[in-house]
Amino acid sequence: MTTTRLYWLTWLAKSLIEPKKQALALYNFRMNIVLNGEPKTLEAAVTLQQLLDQLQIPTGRVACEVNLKIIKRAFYPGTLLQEGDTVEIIQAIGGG
Amino acid sequence: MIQDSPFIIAGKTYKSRLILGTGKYKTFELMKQALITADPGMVTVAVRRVNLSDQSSQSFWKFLPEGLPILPNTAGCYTAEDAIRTARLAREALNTPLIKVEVIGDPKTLYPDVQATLEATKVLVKEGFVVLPYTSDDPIMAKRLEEAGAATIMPLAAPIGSGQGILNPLPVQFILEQAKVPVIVDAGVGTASDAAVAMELGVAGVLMNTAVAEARDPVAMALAMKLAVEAGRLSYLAGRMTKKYTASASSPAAGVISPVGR
Repeated sequence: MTTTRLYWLTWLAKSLIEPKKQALALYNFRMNIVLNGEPKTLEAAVTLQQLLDQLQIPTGRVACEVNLKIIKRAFYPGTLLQEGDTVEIIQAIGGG
Repeated sequence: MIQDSPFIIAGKTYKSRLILGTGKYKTFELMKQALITADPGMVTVAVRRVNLSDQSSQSFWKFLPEGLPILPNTAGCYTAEDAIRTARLAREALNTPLIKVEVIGDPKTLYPDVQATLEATKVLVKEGFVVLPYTSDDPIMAKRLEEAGAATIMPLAAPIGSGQGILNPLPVQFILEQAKVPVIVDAGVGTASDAAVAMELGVAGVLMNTAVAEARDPVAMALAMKLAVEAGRLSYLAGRMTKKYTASASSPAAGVISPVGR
């Protein structure tokens, strides 16, 4: 194989593989948070609202803390979770 | 008929002097039936992490009768800091300023850590909460809590869940004599007569959970408690007879038929 053809082939291979690599990087996105005391890995950067939706938790009677700060319900959609965040999702249940 | 004054806490009137807890029931359905039967003025709830692997506890709300005032508690907290944090979360979750401050000092006796309770009360009152502190029957601590702005004083009659009854009525009476806020006996009631005894002391209300939830028939006990609280309150308002050291016959002495042979 001539050098030119080799270069051309290499260039072609790279231009095909590079976007796939980036896509793969996104595909392999991992974000670690602590949720209700347990480590949790998220596959995408999510807002608090999205996390509650994913967990199928209705926001009606819950309270949420991110890094020990209570987040008001109206701000759930606007609160983007970040790597290492500690999230608490609290509800009221039967008790004396 | 005697007219009772309304049962008021922090400016709000509650329809019954019986406050019930919602824990320890075998099923939510049983809890619902007991609550409907007892028709309490308020119910308490606890604040906990959502169980992410088992969401069945969320159906708890479906079994609470509509329109029942909710009183969240800080049960499970052993420090003032935890209680304050829990109270804030409860207010956020339930949109209520009411909070029963319960800070425990010892898991075996579940006795309140009164110092931490006072600390938490002070902070929460400043933040606008209506604080109902669960405390010991120490009248001095009761005075401090009232000075700190507590909306009620809730002394225990016996340890939580022990059902021992009103073990020490005297200090509860001391607290009653000095308190300008409602005094609600919280913890220790085991059976209907305990509730009646508490109300006969003159307290404003009674809070109980285990006595109903762990009765053999909780729904029947719920009714018994409702009636006991009403009976005890009426009895208090009616003014009991004085206890006498010697007997005093109820039937007249005159005109007694003499026994045969005399």
